[in-house]
Amino acid sequence: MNRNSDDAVLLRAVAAGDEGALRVLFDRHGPWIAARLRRRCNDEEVVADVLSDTFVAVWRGARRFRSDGEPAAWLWGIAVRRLVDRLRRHEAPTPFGAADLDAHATPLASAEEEVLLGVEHGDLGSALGRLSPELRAVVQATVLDGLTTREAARLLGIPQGTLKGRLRRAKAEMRTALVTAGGGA
Amino acid sequence: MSTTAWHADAALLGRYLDGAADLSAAASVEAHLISCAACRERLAHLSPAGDLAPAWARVVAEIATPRPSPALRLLRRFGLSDADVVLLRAARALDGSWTLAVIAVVAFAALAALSNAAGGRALYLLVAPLVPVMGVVASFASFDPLDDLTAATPYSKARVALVRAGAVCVTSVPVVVALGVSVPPIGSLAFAWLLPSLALTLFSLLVMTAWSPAAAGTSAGAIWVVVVAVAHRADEAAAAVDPRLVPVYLTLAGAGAVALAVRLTTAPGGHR
Repeated sequence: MNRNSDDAVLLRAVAAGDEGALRVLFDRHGPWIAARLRRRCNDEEVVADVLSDTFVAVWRGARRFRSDGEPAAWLWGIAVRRLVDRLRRHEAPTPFGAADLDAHATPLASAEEEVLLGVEHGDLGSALGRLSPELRAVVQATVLDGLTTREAARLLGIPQGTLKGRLRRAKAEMRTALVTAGGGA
Repeated sequence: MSTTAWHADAALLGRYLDGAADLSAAASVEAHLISCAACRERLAHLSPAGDLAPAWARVVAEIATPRPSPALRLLRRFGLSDADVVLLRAARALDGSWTLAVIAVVAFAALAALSNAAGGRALYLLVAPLVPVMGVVASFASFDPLDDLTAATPYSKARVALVRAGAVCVTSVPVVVALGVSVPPIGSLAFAWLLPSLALTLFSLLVMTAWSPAAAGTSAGAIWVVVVAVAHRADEAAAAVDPRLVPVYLTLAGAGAVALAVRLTTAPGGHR
């Protein structure tokens, strides 16, 4: 094990009780996990707690990592579920960042971003961009973070029924947007 | 997910870090980061340095702390305070060797009941009610590593007694009942001893407020031996747990509980 080792190798070392390997993983993955958490919760204290909980969970559960999976995806799965747990425990008010709500006011941006979306998501990107902030938050939690409806409802602080309703509406709106865009192209 | 040639540029990563990227751009970045180690590394360089140090310090502190057993973690989830967890962890009567000893002794008594109905039942009846008593006594005996500490801190003696006695009963009673039920000749005796055992446990806790745990254990044990011996001589050991005696044991348990409560509240400095 050294600083350039593969993530899977590092996880095996962590499973064997190597604290140095955990440190390397933390340095490598801590920053982006923290950044991703910050987009879902604007309380810096909660983000720091969830980040350390995540790596404590990695320390204890590294042997549950299946070596055929993507380590980064596995780490994010742990982190986002820790975030859900943490928000449920403390009954925090829905802690979505101002950016998510402001996004509504500034519809979509530069040509550069349009190009990026063309590459990454195509028409889906602009369809996503047209959703209202509540619907986007639901899509983000269920589709992008892969949470179950119950976990997503907990994260967003809304009842499960409401969440399912919003998810249906989001899908319908995006379908309409995609059909319209497809017809125009 | 992502095309191989594409990478998030510094401007986009910067907007993402500032929370200025909208959801679709952010989603693209996030999807890409999962599979691209190079972009993860560049994002780490763009992040403000050092702000993750407190989080890492917490990780180190957390993994250096020994974890309580799964049973204690479960209790903590149900609202047991950290102080009580420490108290339970220090109670020697709750560790594995004690549980093994309980199983061995009760299994021996249960086997005796299989071979010789009358004498074996007497033996089981002699052993079963004393298991919780001995557990409680053992959890207060002087090899408690926290003895000096608990004596010197204003931690309610009644709470110490209740938490430990409760824990001992929860761990030992199911073992004894299960072994009793699994041996047919024991029959209703598998449960019948619970009430006398409650009375004896309360009695030994009461005695411990004045005398040493050893004296409390010995006297409770001696009383029970006498009761079972008398019952065995007169008729059959099971007479010691005859349904007609239920009011007697209930009265004794109630009196013991009241006396214990009075002792613990009026003489908080008394010897445990």
